[in-house]
Amino acid sequence: MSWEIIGIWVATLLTFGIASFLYKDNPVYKIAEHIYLGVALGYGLTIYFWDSIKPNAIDKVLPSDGSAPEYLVWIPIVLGLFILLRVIPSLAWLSRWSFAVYIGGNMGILVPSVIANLLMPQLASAMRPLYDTAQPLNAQWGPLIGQAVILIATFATMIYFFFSLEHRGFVGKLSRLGVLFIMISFGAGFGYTVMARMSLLIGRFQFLIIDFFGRALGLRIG
Amino acid sequence: MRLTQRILNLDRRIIYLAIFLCVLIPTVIPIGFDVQVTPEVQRGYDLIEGLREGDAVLISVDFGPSAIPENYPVLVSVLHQCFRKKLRPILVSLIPDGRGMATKGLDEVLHAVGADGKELYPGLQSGVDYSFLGYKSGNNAVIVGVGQSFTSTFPTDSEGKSTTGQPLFKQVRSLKDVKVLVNTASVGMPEVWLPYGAQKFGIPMVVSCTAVSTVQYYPFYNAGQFTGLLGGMKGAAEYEKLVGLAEITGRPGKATAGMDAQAVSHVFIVFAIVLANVCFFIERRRGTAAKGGA
Repeated sequence: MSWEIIGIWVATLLTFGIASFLYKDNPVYKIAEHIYLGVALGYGLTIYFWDSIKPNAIDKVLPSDGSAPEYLVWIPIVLGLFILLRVIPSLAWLSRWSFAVYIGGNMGILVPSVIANLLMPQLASAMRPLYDTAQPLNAQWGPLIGQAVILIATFATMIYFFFSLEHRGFVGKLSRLGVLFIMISFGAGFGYTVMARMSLLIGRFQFLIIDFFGRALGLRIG
Repeated sequence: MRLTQRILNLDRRIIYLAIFLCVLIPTVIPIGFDVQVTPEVQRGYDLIEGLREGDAVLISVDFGPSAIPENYPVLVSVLHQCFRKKLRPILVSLIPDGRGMATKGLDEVLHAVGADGKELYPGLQSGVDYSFLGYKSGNNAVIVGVGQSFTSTFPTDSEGKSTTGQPLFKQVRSLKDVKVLVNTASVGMPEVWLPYGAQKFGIPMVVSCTAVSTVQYYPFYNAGQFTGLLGGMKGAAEYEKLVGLAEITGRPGKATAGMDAQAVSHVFIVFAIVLANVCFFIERRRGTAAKGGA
């Protein structure tokens, strides 16, 4: 029996172990859950070390290929170690330096990029002309209605979250309309969530039918 | 107990059993529902299809095993499309789990055989025709880094070989030399790739996301910030159809094969929601609304 087939057997047993929770909580489910958490953490840490820490830190300060060490890399290494010092109360204050550098640097990169490349294009998209004046209007009813709905939905939803005015009268009606659009959005989100969860179940069934029954047991189903 | 009350107090395990059958039966006995291609997917496909031989496509593999049914078929289809058109895909991953997914997808496509049993893409070389650079932590810092240089941000590829001097990276030095950015993601990476990569360097972006994330990404598609949007297993099935995966490999892709079960289970869920609501309103009218429900 090859290692691959053994892997399929293990995956199958763990799949049934996790699925047994649907009936009720039980020790097999607990074992499968703990194995999953342990393996996921171990896998993540291993990948993190070999793909990030080794090539970007260790190999730079202690090169094995005869190249000159990059001493500047010691700065982020030391700052990274400072964060770990949070577990020692008397030295925990050193982590603030690391966080100051991290937050400061990140904000410098983040603020202009997000404003220029996320916020402004989204605002521009919401404020597009309702229709193209250079084209005949009767050929643009579809886009016109779509853009009008986006405009009204954006405005009504923003009114719902605008608390400086009492939600009465016209403002109240707009706010109610905003709630309606939010509900439609939640409905669409729920529909997509159902599809996502079904996809996971279908994925497991495909694994069981193709890999377990087909490859591990040599049975052809479907 | 009245029928409506029985339905409202139905044991949830009966619902699970019904869903189980709705998924099992169409998976074992395929119905063969047609997959209609939507403009969001068509535009993404056309974008890559319009590239010229040798153009570089950056594929960021940011999903883990939990999103295999939704994202993995897209990764495989895009790789088939790239190799068929002699494009040069560069794979990276910004989440640790993505490394395994990218390795698996690349391995599957590189060793794929056609319906005639012959190898589809013989002789492709890492560092020349494609490259997988592995995982790197830092999200936006990594994207800013590859915006300056691939080789300094990823000194080695996933196999530990130095990227400096590889023929691919002599021509494709940074993100500026990439023609299309494809992000297959189960987490919020498209929102990171968009401002720091795609928008900053004017690279058209195609996003394959999980169905859960699709709603939140539609505004980006409507604004023209994403050229293509492939939502969940449905988007993946559409892409498999466009690429012609069934014709290339001789068997339907996994997303396409899963759409029958998807359709049947959706019909059942819609039926269950309508039935439960009808029963609820009947009981409320009688003034004896059931406590709890299915």
